[in-house]
Amino acid sequence: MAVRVQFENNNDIGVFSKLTNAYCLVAVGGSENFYSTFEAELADTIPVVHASIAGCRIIGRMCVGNRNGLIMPYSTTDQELQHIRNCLPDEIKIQRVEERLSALGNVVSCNDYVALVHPDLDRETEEILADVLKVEVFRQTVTDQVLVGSYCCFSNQGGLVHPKTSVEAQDELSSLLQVPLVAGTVNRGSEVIGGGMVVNDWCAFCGLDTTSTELSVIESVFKLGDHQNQGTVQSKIRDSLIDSLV
Amino acid sequence: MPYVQPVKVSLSEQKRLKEVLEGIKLAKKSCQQRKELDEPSELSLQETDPTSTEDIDGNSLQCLTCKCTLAERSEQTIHYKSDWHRYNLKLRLLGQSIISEEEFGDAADEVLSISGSDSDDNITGISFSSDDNRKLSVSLLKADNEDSEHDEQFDNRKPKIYFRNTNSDIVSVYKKVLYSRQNSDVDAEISDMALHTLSTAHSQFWTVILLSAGHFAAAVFDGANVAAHKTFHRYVVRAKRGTVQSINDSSKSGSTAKSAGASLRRHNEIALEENIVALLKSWKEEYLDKSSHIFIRIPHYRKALFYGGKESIFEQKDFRIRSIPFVTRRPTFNEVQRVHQELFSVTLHGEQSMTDILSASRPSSEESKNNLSVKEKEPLKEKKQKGKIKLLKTEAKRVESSDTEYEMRIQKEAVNTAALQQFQVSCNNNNKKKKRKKQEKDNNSDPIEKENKDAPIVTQMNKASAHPLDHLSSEHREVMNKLYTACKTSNFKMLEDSLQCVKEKPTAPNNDATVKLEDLKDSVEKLDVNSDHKRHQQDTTTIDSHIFASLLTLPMDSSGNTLLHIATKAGNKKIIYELLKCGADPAIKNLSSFLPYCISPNKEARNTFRRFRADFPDRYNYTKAQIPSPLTEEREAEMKKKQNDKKKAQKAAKKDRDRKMKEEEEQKNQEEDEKNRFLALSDREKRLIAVERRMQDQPSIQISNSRRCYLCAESLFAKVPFEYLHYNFCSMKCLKGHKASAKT
Repeated sequence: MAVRVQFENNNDIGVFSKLTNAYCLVAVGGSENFYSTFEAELADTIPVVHASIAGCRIIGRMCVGNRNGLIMPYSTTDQELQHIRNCLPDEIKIQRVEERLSALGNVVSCNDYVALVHPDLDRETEEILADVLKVEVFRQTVTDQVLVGSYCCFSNQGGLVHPKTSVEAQDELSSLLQVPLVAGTVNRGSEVIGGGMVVNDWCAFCGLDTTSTELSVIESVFKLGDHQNQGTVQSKIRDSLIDSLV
Repeated sequence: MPYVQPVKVSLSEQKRLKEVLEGIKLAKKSCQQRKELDEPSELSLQETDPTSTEDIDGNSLQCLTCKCTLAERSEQTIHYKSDWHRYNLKLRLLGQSIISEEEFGDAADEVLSISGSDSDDNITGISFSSDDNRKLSVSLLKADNEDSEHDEQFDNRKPKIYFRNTNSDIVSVYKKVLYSRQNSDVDAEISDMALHTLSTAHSQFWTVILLSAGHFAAAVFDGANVAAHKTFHRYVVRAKRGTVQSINDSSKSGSTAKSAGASLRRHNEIALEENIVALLKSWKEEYLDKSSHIFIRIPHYRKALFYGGKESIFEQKDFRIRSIPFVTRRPTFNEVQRVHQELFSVTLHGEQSMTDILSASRPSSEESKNNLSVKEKEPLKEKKQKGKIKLLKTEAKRVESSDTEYEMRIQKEAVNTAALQQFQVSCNNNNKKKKRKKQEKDNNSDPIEKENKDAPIVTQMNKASAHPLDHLSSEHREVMNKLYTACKTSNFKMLEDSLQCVKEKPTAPNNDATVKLEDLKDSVEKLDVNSDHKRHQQDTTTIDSHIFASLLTLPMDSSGNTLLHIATKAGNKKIIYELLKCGADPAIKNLSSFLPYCISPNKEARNTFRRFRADFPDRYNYTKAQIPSPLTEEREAEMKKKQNDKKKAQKAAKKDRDRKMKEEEEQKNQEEDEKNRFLALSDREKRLIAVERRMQDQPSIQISNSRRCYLCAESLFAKVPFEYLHYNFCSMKCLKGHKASAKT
């Protein structure tokens, strides 16, 4: 099930929220509409938590996490850390890392098993990622973009990558991540996938501008809702897919 | 013959290992036998070759960055985590062309770091220990200057030892695996030993420890499997500048960096060492003690951490400890595994001759240079080998020559000291003889002395162990006793008397100079003297003036005080003066090195010495006696005058002070009176006065008591008054008080 949502007239909702299979972090906004949308979808399954990191609302770009844990940048205050710790289930490990590339959401993209990271990420951070999130860490780029967190988005079911990713690179990535990948866009042609949407294994949120074609690609590749059958995608929206890629 | 890529066989593959190691013998360079290719061995080569890239499936995985194909998932994950892949990724992002795996192996010493944390990396990921440096550089040399096979294999320059098995394949293994420097007395049975070591290795614990700068990695392997491992990293290396902080500190004597970074690094170094020690201690029983091989790569400045201290982790002589005979990169768990893999395997070179294998290694442009460096670094053991190097010879010569020089010098010194000693000894002997002679003489000349010896003459003296006087004749002693008593009791008359008797017959010969002591009786009686002797002494006391002069300088009691000391202590200036006049030298110190002048109890006594100096300016060595400038009469008068003047001045000053104080008090009283008067006035009058004053001295602000607080009459001079209506006050409190009183 993919839902369109907007954060204070901004479509880059991946910037203001972080969604995993075990919890959802939502930025503190002027209105509660954003939060309410998430709560309506998720509240009965996982905790939806108001959060800020270092006093900023761009929490989706600052932290990285999956159902095993959450990694915060060093700029996170103790109070914020304590708040998140109190709101999340105990089995989720929360760790603060000292990393030069402090926008962890931009440099790391992960699901519950694998993580793609920026090639320049510190080795210690890499080890912490592997330990806390229990993932295999690969240093990789997405179409020569080092900000893997911004230009791709994947769950345990599938993933969406930068629209200009070549087929070989998609194959390589998908063999690395072991999930099917599709090159695509969100928010009416935005290539910043990670910034434009958040996804977990059963639910996706994207910006209000996202077209229905984009939405159906998302639903199909992330295997959300009724689009369980791969065939339907290929037969029904193939043409529009091709259009969007061209 | 075709070049066959060397194949590694892990020691854990027992079956294959057995096959490979069958009947191994030390390989000989001269052995040129060539057999036909052994079919099964060639096959097995292909089977086990991990780098064979022949079979590429259609659906196989590939890495686009490194342009390589990967067989399966595990291989893929390993590849993506490998340094090669990371390096290529960086190259691609920098827009440079990628390099192949082989090239990467060669270029491992390039500066480009693969990790993101390159800022704290000083040694470009590669560390050499000096030992290995030598071996490495040497392994590049062509092996053509060796003549015996044994030496060729056992010289320390090659890290590996080569065997030939029954299939006439060359098999090589690192020497450090077989033996360490501690048990290097290996003989020709090395092949048996190798066979034993290698075939039992799969059931042994091996430990690998790497430490470089702030990175530490250690792992214990049970056969091919990791039993335990740990890595640490601390920030200890000075960014950009390189080198560990402690090295920088020690290189600069005196001033050390005080920056926050420096102290951080210092702290981190300590923390790192603590971590390492804690880890290794926790491993000690479980793993380290059980390990059969411990491979260590540590920088020299950290050696103390492992081998030093009270409870060192390792013993220096431990035969299990070996250095790592090849280049290692930054200590990581991966690197530890690679090192172990490298060591924990034998390399199958195929059926080549030794020359082929050795010359196949990278050619060196710096051959001669390396050669030289090797010669210089050759350990002592190698010196025994036939061809001694010139350099060493000359060095040895130099050492010899310097040795003889040294010996010569030593002899010289010995002779010198011997002469000195002889001299000393003879001198002592002479002294002793003299003394003895003198004593004998004394004894002979004074037969009475013996009977007098026991008699208590003066209890005071006897008690104080009057040894200095023991060797004197009884007459002398008598006089001295009297003088002593006189000095001690400040009895000037007695002193004068005893001195008089000396002076009476100053020119008399030795024993004829008899001294009559008329007034002695009463004074001696006081001092509890044996009466028999008294009489006898009265008659017979004779003294020589020369001897007397010398007697005056003799120490009188156990603390080495002379008569003058005693007299000075008593503080009688007449006696002091008299003694000085008689010839008591003021430059003689007592046993505690005090001069008479220095122990004077008062100024008058000291002045006596100075006066004496003024009267007899050349009699004694006054500078030695520390007697200051002579005190003449005029000088004394002058001083007195000066003192009087000073006193007068003091008196005047005091008077002045008193007058001032009186004035002040008067002023205070006046002020007080005025205050009271002012208080007595009513507010109206106060105001009137103020106005009047203001009218009076409009132009010049008079410093006076005109402005006062209306309530407490405190002077408002130099104050900003609180005022209401036209009333002025010193404080708000006064103002309020006045207001309240005005209302009522």
